[in-house]
Amino acid sequence: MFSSCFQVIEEITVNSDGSGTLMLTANLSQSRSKLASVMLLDSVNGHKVPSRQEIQEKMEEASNTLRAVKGISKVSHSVDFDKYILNIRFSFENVSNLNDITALIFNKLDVKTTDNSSYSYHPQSKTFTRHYAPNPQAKSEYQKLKQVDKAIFEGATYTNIYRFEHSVIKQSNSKAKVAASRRAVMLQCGVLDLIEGKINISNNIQLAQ
Amino acid sequence: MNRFFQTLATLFILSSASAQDLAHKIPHDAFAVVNIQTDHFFELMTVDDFDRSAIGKTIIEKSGGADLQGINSIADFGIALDRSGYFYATLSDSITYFSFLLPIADIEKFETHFAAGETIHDHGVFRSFTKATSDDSTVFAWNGTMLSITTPSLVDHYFQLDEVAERYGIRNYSYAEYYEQLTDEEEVSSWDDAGWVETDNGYDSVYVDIPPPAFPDSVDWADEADSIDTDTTDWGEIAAAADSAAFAEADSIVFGYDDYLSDSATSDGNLYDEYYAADQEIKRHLTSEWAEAFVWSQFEDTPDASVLTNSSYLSSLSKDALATAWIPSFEGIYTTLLPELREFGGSGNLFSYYGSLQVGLFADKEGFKLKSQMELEKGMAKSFKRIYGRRLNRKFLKYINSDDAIGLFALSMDTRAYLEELPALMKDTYGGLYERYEADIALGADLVSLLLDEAAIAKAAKGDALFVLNGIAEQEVPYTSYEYDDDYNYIEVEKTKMETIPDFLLMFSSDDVSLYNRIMSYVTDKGYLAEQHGVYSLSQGELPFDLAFARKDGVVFIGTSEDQLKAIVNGSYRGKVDNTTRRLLTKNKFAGILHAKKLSKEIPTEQLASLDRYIAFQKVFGSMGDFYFRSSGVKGNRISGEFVAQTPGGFDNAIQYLFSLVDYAVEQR
Repeated sequence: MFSSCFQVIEEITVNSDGSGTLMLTANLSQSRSKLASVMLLDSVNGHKVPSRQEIQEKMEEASNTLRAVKGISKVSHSVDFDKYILNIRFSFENVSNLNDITALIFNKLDVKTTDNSSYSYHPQSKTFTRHYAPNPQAKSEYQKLKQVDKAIFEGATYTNIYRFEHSVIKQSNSKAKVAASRRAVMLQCGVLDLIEGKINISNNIQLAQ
Repeated sequence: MNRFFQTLATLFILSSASAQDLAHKIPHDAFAVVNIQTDHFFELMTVDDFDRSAIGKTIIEKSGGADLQGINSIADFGIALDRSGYFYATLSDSITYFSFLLPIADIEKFETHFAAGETIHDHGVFRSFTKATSDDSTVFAWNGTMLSITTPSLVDHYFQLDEVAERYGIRNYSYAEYYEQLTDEEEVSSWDDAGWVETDNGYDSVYVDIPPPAFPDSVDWADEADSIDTDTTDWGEIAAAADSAAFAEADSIVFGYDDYLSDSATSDGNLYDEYYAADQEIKRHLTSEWAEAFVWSQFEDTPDASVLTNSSYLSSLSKDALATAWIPSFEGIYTTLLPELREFGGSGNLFSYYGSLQVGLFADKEGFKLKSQMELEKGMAKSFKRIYGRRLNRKFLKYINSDDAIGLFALSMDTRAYLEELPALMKDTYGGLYERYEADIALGADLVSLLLDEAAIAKAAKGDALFVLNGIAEQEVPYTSYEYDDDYNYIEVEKTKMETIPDFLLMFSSDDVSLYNRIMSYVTDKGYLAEQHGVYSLSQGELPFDLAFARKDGVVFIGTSEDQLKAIVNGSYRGKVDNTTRRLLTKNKFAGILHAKKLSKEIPTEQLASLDRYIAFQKVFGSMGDFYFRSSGVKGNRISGEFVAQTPGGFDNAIQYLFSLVDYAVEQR
C-alpha cells in the first residue's frame, strides 16, 4: 500500500479577555478512495475498521467529554463521510481551559505526560504562549508501528492558526508566519516531524496593548 | 500401468545410485522424508559460480568470521556436493527423531571446521559430539561417508500417562497437588511401586529401567503398493505401528533424586519446582540414552527395509528435482503434532481422507516449479471428482485479450455436486472429530441439504468462473483541501489527484435468466443501478472504481469498464487468446497466470517516487517471467497442483536467475 495523506488543522481564536474558540479539523479527503475501500472491510493491517456508526459514537463521546469540562461550552462536531472530514469545535472561558483538555486527551490515550503542551494567555501583558515539548513516547510508539502503518503518516500535515483581536507585535517561532493583517499566526509542518520531535511548535506571541 | 513403469524407472535410477545413497539408512516407515538433491543443484550452477555469488561470498565470509580457516569455497566444508542429502523424521509413541543425513566428501576438512572445539566421543565406527540448544540437544555424528545431525524430542503426552510416568519415576506433580494433599501427606505410598526407595527423609533415589524404544519397524510395507491405489485405511497403521510399547533389552540406570532436587523449597513448602526439575532431568536422561541408541543404529545397522522399498516414497522422487518431500500419512501429521485433537472424543475422519503428500521443487529452463500431489481416500476422490466435474465455459475465452491481460484466474467447479456432496462430507469429517456433537452435526448437515435447492442454486451459479485483471488504470479523483488567504482564513477547495484502480472483468456461468432480471430490476428500482443498453452500472456506490453488470449467452459479467461490457452485450467485442493461456485455463480445474512484466509497466511511475526505486523495480519485475499455477483436479485417487515462476530470457535456468536477483539486491544495499 502506498502512502496516504491527511491534514490536521487546529485553529484557536483568542479574545482579549482570554476567552475564545477552538476548532479542530481532520481532513482525510485525499485518502478517500482508500478509506471508502477500507470501510468495506472488517479489518486492515490487523486493525479493526470502525463502522460509520462507531465513528459517530466516538465523536459524540468526545463532545460529551468536552461538555463536562469546566469553562467549555458550545461544543459541536461534524463528520462528513463523503469527503472524510471530521470537525470538532467549542468555546472556552479561558485559554487555560485548553490545558485541562490536553490533559484529558492524554489521559484517555493513556499517555504519561506532564506539561508537554500547554497554553497560556495574560490579559494584562497581552502575551499568548504555546509551550510544546516533543513527547518521546509518541516517537517510540511510532517506531513500533509496522512499516505499512507508518506509511499513513507520510505526507500528513499539521497546521495551527492562532487568531487575536489585537495585532501581533512579535512571535518567537521561526517556522511560523504572521498574517498580513497581523491578527493571525500560522505554522505548518509535517505530522511526522512533530512525532519525531524534529520541529518545535512552541511560540511566544506578544500582542499590541 | 503408467505408474508401474514410473516406479520401475525410479527404482532403476535409484538402484544404480543406492550404493552410496544415504536413503538406504532411512527406515521404510519414516514419518517424513525430504530429499535434498545437492548434486542436481550444482549441475544447474557450478560450485565456482556459487562461490562467486553474493550468497556464496557471504557464506565464505561468515566462515572466516567464525574462525573457520581455509574456507575458500562451499566445497571446503567437506560435505559432498555431488550426492543427495536427506532430512527425515521417525516417531514412536514416546519420542520423535528429526535427522539430517549428509554425505561427507572429506572427513578431515569436516572435522577441522565443524568439530573443532567440541568434546568428541569416539565410538569406533563413528564419532560424535552433542550440542545443547535451548530446549533440546542435537547429536552430530559422522564416519567417513555420512554426517548425521539428529534432534530427539520426547512426546509430552505420552509421559503424562500414569503407567508410563510410574515406569520412569516421573511425578508429573501439579502445583495445586501440594495444597490438595496437605491434609494427607502420606498418600504417596503408591509411588513405592515405581521403584522409589523410601528413606528417612522421604524420597531419596529412584531406580528405573530405561530401555530405548523399539524403532518403528513392524508394518508390512509389501501391502503399501496396493494400498496406494485402493484403500487409505492402511495409512492409519503407520502411526499405530510406531508404538514403542514393546521395549527391547532393558538397561538399568540409576538416577539419584537428590541430584535433581535443589536445596531450597518455596516458602510455603511447595516442592513443585523441585519435582518439575527432577522430572525434566529424568526426561533429559531418557532422551539422551534413546538418541544415542538411535544414532548408533544409523551407523551400525541398516534398516530391514529402507525407504527405498516404499513405492509411495519412490513415486515422490524425480531426478530433476532440487528437493522432494514425502509424508506418508497426512493424518499422521495431525495425530502426532496435534494430539489435542483426540481430546474432542473421536479421531474423526477429517484427515484419514488424505493419504501421502508429495512435494517437489524443480528449477529448470522454464522456471521454478513447485509440484505437489496428495493421495485421497476412494470416497473422497469420488466426491472431489464430482465437485470438479465441470469444465470452464469456453464462451469466457471470447472476452479475454491475452495480449493485454495482466492476470487471469479460473475456477471450474460444479455447484450442484458441491452442495450435494457437502452434507455427507460434513457428517463424516466433523461428526467423528467432535464425537459428542455427532448427532447434531449429522442433523445440521441433513437440514442444510433439505433447505437448499441444489439444482436451483446451481442454475444461478454453475460453479465456473474466470477473473481477468485487464490492467491497473489511473483515474483522476477529487479531494478536498484548503487554501489560505492573507489573513489565514481558509476555504475548502476541490483538488484532484491520480489514483491507481484495478481494471477487471469477472465472468461466471448462470442459466437463471429470470433471477438475474429480477435482481437487476429490483436494485435498479431502488436507485442503486442505472441501466443502459443491457448494461447496469452502479450509480451511487462508494467503491473507488466503477462497477457494471451485464448478462449474455448464459454468462454474467461484472467489470470495471462499462464500455467493455457494452461491447460484449452488443457483440462488437473482439477478444483474443493465445494457445498457452487457452490450454492453461481449459485443461485445469484451478488455474491462474500473472504476467509480472506487464504488471510492472502498469504501475504508474509516480508511485515509484525516486529514480532508485524505479530502477530497482524495473530491474526486478521488469525482467521477471510469468507466474502461473494450475491444478487439473483429481486423477485416479490423487489431487495435484503446480506453481511455476518462469525464468525470463537470458538465464539458463531458474537457479541462475534467482542468484542474479540476490546479487542485484545485495549490490543495491
